[in-house]
Amino acid sequence: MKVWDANQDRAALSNPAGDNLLAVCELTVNFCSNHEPESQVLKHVGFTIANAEIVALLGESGCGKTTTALSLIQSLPPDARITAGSIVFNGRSLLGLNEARLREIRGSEISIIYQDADVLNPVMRVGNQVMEMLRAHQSGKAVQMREDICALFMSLGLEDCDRIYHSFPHQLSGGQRRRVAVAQALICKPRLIIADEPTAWLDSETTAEILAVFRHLRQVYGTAFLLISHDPDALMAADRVLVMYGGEIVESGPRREIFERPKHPYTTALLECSKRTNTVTDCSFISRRLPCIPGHAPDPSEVLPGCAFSSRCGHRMEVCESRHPDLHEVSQAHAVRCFQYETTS
Amino acid sequence: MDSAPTFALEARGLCKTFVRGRWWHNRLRHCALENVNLALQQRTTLALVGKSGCGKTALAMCLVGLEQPDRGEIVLNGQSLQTLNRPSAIAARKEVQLVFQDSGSALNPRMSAMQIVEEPLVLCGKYSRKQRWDLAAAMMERVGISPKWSHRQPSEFSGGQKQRLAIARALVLQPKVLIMDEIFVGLDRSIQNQIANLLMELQQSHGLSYLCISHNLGLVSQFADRVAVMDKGRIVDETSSSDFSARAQGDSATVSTPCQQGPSALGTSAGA
Amino acid sequence: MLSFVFLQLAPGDFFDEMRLNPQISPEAVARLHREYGLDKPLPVRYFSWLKSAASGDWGTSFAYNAPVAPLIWSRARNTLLLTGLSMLLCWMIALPIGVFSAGERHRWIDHGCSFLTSFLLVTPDLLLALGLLWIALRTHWFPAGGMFSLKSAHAGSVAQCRDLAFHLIAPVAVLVLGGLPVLLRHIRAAMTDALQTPYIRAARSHGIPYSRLLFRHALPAASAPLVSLFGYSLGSLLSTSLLIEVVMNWPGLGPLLLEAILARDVYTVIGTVMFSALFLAGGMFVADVLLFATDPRIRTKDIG
Repeated sequence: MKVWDANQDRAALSNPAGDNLLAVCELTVNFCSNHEPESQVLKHVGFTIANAEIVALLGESGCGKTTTALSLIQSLPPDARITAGSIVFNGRSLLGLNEARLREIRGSEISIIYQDADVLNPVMRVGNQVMEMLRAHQSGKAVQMREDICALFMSLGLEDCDRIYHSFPHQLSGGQRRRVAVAQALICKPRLIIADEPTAWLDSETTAEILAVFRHLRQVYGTAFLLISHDPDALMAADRVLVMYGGEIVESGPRREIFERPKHPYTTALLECSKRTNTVTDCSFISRRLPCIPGHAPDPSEVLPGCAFSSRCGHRMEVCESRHPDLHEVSQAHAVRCFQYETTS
Repeated sequence: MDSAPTFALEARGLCKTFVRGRWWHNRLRHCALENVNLALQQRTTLALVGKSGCGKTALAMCLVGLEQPDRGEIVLNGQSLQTLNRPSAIAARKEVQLVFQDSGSALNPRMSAMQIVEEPLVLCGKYSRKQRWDLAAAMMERVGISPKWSHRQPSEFSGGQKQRLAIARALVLQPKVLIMDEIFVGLDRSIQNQIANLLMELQQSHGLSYLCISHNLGLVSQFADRVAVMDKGRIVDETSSSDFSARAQGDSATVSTPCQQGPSALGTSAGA
Repeated sequence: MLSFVFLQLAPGDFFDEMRLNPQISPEAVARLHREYGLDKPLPVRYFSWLKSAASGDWGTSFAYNAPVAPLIWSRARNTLLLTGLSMLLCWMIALPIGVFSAGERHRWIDHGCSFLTSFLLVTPDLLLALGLLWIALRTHWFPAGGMFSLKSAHAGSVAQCRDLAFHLIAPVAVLVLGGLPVLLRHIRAAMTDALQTPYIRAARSHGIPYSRLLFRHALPAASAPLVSLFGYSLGSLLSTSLLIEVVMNWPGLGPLLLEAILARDVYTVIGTVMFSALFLAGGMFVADVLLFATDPRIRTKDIG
């Protein structure tokens, strides 16, 4: 059986070292539904991803992570639209491209792995669904394509490739379906893979196998990743972390720096919640209380003059409620959007 | 005989086999539960962990009465359910309630929040309209949903709030035992912790016992008193949660950072 | 059984007109009554009819003085030709339009379709039929009713087919226009639901070409209600065209049934109704079988 490995050429690996694969600048997305006024779900979001880099987007539900991912491939729902900003991928602007050109890019150069549990068509065999990706973006013999698919299935831990190829989604377990969905995204070996909540719905063994495949891709093909999660533990493979809150980036920097020395109060609180140290040594109720962030996530339709996190922040100052903070670099490549650090830039 | 039984809920020798296929075709016999013995002590939390497909949900269904076990006994507060006649068994079953995973789809999208929480009281038939309203409003307040939102439909609530509504609905009949099937999946860490805190408070104030099914080892080791491990339909291990965490090298590094160490490190996690 | 009972409940029977004729003696009428078994009580008549129908003898038509079964079958063939052809055309037209209009929601094709279907829905079939007949009479583009013209009886088979095709234009057009709105709406609704599912959104963001997405990915997923509808359409092939056949003078089951009811030709009526009912049940069965064949979720239980 064919092994899916390094002996395959990638003509597109031609981006000169040092240039960014993806550069997003001042991206603003508005959401307008019939019953409510227009609201800004993304506010001037900007970041870059270099070749073979793994960038993580961390934030709680509703902060705009999935919207960011969808706007990269221009698959926003009909009532959301990009009102400002630019997205440059591989030297080309993605905004303003026609639908045909975008269709070529989706799946073959930028690919997205959704967090939905059922992204497989229930009436089509899973092997054919992966084959559809190859048919849409590459030409070649069907036999060859089938071998490629089987090799990819094996590397993702789907043994008994023949049976799985001809199965329907409801005949597979949840973990197997997830792996097939990952295979669909990887089969065309895209330059950038966006993984939305890659570890949700999975047990730890499956997670480890999938992350191993991601590392292999990065090493061998120079694939870049954008990992999106609300769980810091799922982002341990990342090189850089961007923390999002209320539709904007509030902190960014190398992963170790952010996880060990977080600066923004939200990042600190989030990491505190995620600690899973064993506290059940004594049974008194008070010591068992788990940390959580008081209050709730901001509503995108509310326009606040000051910092979006100020109502839930323990370090709130007067200025936080009246002025909106900007992103400032506090150390090398580590930037924070907080008034506490503004004087130290 | 003790005045209060030690165990809130006990399963003795439960066996359950699911048969798939048609009568003229090969039938697949899948043994979901094999001689399962489980005991939940009063006012404690027992976590049930294991890989997907090991039978945790089948066990929950049997304990709550949604599936009939083929063999074995379920003892609720010292009384074996198998020995009761049907009306008494139904009355006894009210003592055990189940909260499902993904309550977003478990809540009727066309009912308001108040109607959802009131529904068990309506089915019980013993309460007047005012009594039902008072009980439901009090329970909603207790779980942190303001009665001002009682007219809202599930789609207008966030994931964490829907989970709280499901818990309120389960608790409105004042059960003694609550079985929770993967209720933390899909929620943010902060929300998971809030719900865990709420459950611990309710356990103190109402004297509840919990059976918490989860594959989230880190959270259950903080939240539960004892942990039972299930594999292929059998209970393979049961310890206190501190021993369990210690055995699984319970610091957060191994349990929740698989990517740095690779697949081999995860062989120590429960269920393997 | 109900139709048997209702027909008997209606006052009068086939021989009433004969009774009015002074030249026929009452004894002759009474003798005919006994011969045809009309003097026996209702339950006895019903069970004796059931017994003979099970063995293939569906009674005798009073009006045509011939066995009922071959009579019904010859007329049914004409009806099936008409309705089968119109159903085929209806689906062939509705399917692509419905699929594309679901894909292009709120664009011109969708608005156009909505307008067309609303217009056709409110227009009664009878009005459409009369309208086409009027056009036929005015313009002579196609014949206004009937199945064959007189001169075609002597012509060759090709000419006969051509003649038949011309005669089919008007009734088929009415049936297609009448059935199109319902079908279009169902297809559009099923496709709209399918296009909003997570797996179709995922396929779209994977770059699958548009028409392939619609026909190869979304349509199979949307096909469950459509297959049921197809089976039901099959079953109702015999019954939908009754009015059109009568108005356009097409020699099918419709006119036969109408005349038989008016003349109290009991066995013909019962035979026609039973034939239609059997056909309907058969169509439902075919629908179930088709659903079983096309939806893998029904046909294969999950093992994983």
